[in-house]
Amino acid sequence: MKKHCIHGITLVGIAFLALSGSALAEEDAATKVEASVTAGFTLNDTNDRTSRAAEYQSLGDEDILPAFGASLFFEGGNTEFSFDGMYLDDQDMQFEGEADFSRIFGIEAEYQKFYHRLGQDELLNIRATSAAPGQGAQLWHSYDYAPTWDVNSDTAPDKEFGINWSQWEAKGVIRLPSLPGVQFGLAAREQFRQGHEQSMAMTKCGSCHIVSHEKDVDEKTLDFKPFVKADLGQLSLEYNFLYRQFINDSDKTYHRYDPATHPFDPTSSKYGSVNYDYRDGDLEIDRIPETEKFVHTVKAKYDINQSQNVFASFVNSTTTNTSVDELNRVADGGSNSELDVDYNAGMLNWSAWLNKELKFNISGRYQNIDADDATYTLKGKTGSPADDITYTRKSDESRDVLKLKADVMYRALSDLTLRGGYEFESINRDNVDFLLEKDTNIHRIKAKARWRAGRGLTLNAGYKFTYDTDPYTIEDAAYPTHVDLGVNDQGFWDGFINDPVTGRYIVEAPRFQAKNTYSKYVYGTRTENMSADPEFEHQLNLKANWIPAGSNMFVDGYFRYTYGTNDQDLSYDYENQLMDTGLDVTFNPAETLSLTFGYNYFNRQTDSEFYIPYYHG
Amino acid sequence: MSYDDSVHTLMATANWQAMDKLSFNFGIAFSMAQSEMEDIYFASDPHTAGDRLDAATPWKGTYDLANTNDMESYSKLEYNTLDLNLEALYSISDNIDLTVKYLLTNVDDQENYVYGDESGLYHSLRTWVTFRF
Repeated sequence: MKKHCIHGITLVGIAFLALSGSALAEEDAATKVEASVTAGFTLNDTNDRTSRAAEYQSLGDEDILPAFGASLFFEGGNTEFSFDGMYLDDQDMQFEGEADFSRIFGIEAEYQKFYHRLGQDELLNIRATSAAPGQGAQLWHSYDYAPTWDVNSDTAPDKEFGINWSQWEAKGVIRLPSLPGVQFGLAAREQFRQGHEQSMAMTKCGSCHIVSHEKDVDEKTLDFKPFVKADLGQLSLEYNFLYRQFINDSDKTYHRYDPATHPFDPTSSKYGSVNYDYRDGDLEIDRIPETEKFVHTVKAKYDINQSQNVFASFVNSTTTNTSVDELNRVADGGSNSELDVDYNAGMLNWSAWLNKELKFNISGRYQNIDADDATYTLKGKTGSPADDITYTRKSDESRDVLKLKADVMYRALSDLTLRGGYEFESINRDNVDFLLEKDTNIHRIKAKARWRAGRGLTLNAGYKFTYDTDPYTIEDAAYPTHVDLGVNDQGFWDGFINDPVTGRYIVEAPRFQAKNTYSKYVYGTRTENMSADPEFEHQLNLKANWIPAGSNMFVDGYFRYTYGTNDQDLSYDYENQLMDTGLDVTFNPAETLSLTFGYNYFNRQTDSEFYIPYYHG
Repeated sequence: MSYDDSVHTLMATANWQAMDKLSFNFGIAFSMAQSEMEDIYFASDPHTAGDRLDAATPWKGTYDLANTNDMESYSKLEYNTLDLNLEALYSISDNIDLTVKYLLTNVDDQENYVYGDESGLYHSLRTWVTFRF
């Protein structure tokens, strides 16, 4: 019924636009009106799964549907108006329009809606802990208080997930004749995401014990952005303010966590150092917090003369997690304190043609990110409130970043242009709970050449080298030694161990004593750092365009290769490679025929270490 | 451990003004995408030894390295995707156009790994008349 109503409204709208266009055309010979209406149908079909084949097609669900479209352009006096739109079904439509009145008031708006189909992880391939087919991470033991508990299960099998995505945005501008060069404006945007998607929950032993649920999605993002721009001859100024609100009206998703137990005594009533488990009942999972963001941006550009200009900008923003009050309960894993992120950044750029052949560009940018610490109250290992532990997680986001950059462009010959540049970036993190190094400096050097070789051939070549003095590295993330674990080379317990509690070397130690303290035995004995961030990176770019003389052909070839390595403070060599290359050929054998053929090859390889600890807790 | 992903894409388009009143647009794209994690090897683990985790117990050797190292590759994905579109535009008169469009997407999932068998076909025939004023 809803669909038929929309069809009816659309038809009335199309008829109105068509009649309006005809009437206006007759009123004034100087008036220009162009209008069109479109009407037809779509016949749609699918076989098997639609999550990929019709990922962005809502029509896959329908056999036959009417389709409507309309456009209108009106120009008369000092007024211009245009509209264009297409309606395929109530989940797939697009409309846009704009109007201008005497160059004093202008408005443009757009609305788009489509359906995005999502896949579903069947959770059948979590075999890192077991080769048994379909076994996943089934527990082999049961608990008196949870006799039928199934750890690795999908609560929404065969469910087809998808999101109805829609967005409208509009911008209005006022240019007052009494203030030449100045414009005031307001932009607004509202985005809606509604539907269902797969949600997953994991426990402390999360790499295996994963459960899937159907999650309701009902989210909205609202932007409100007033701005003012002034073009005052050599000086241009702009100020804009952005208010962004993320609203989450989704139904809550709940999960009942795995039963936890003492690692070596299933009859124990203790939680085994897990913060919550089956006995806490259904707990909310996978909730995106609501946020508010305020951004102030100021930009200024001054043309010193025809060959030089200076540009400066400043950005101040505050993002607030407005769900803190709702989620600060211990059972939900929320923070006891406010969670705001403050961001301040300033940028200065000078650009100058020193002569007709040489251009310099120098810029600097400073950023400061200050994110609040999150404070949690965690349950102690006995589960008793008396054992509660308050923990403050310092933000990894808080940092100062300084970036300095210098570029030069030199027209060496009429057919040859050379470019070079150096960039220095310094990152100083405020907190380094798990990182090997707190600060890093990154140096980037680049060179580029463009040569018009003649006979229709143009060649571009570029090289970029990056050196990161201290790549992002987690300290002591892997590899306990044999003596730390108390095992021999074959992984069998041999009783020779550094006592995890006292640090004293023990011979013929009892096995259970060492394993009772996970924080020291499992985590505390790791000795090697891990990183997946290159220390050195080389990037090569080649591009060629060829238009053979006297032909109707255009050839475009490109090649990009990136190679990065890192063995700094690591016991292994990290390496990544990326290649992206292709060839496009356009051929026009006749004035009425144009043909294009293309091939692209993309390849990415990463060699690293993979460290999976697994337990039987 | 190494992770490798690659995509080959072939495409062709053609635009032909066959007659004053009739034009065709044609496009085809075929891509072969695959990725996998290889050379995974678990070096040692004390939990595999003896007592409660060997194959003779109810635990059935779940965590035995003989099982975990049985995997030659992991997270293996392979998709072949064909996209096709054909559009014909015929001007019935100066003010009326007829458009016929055919879209097809065929996905051939050769590994069925994470999301199950995602092989599927979508096709759509779209026809409409445009009146200009």
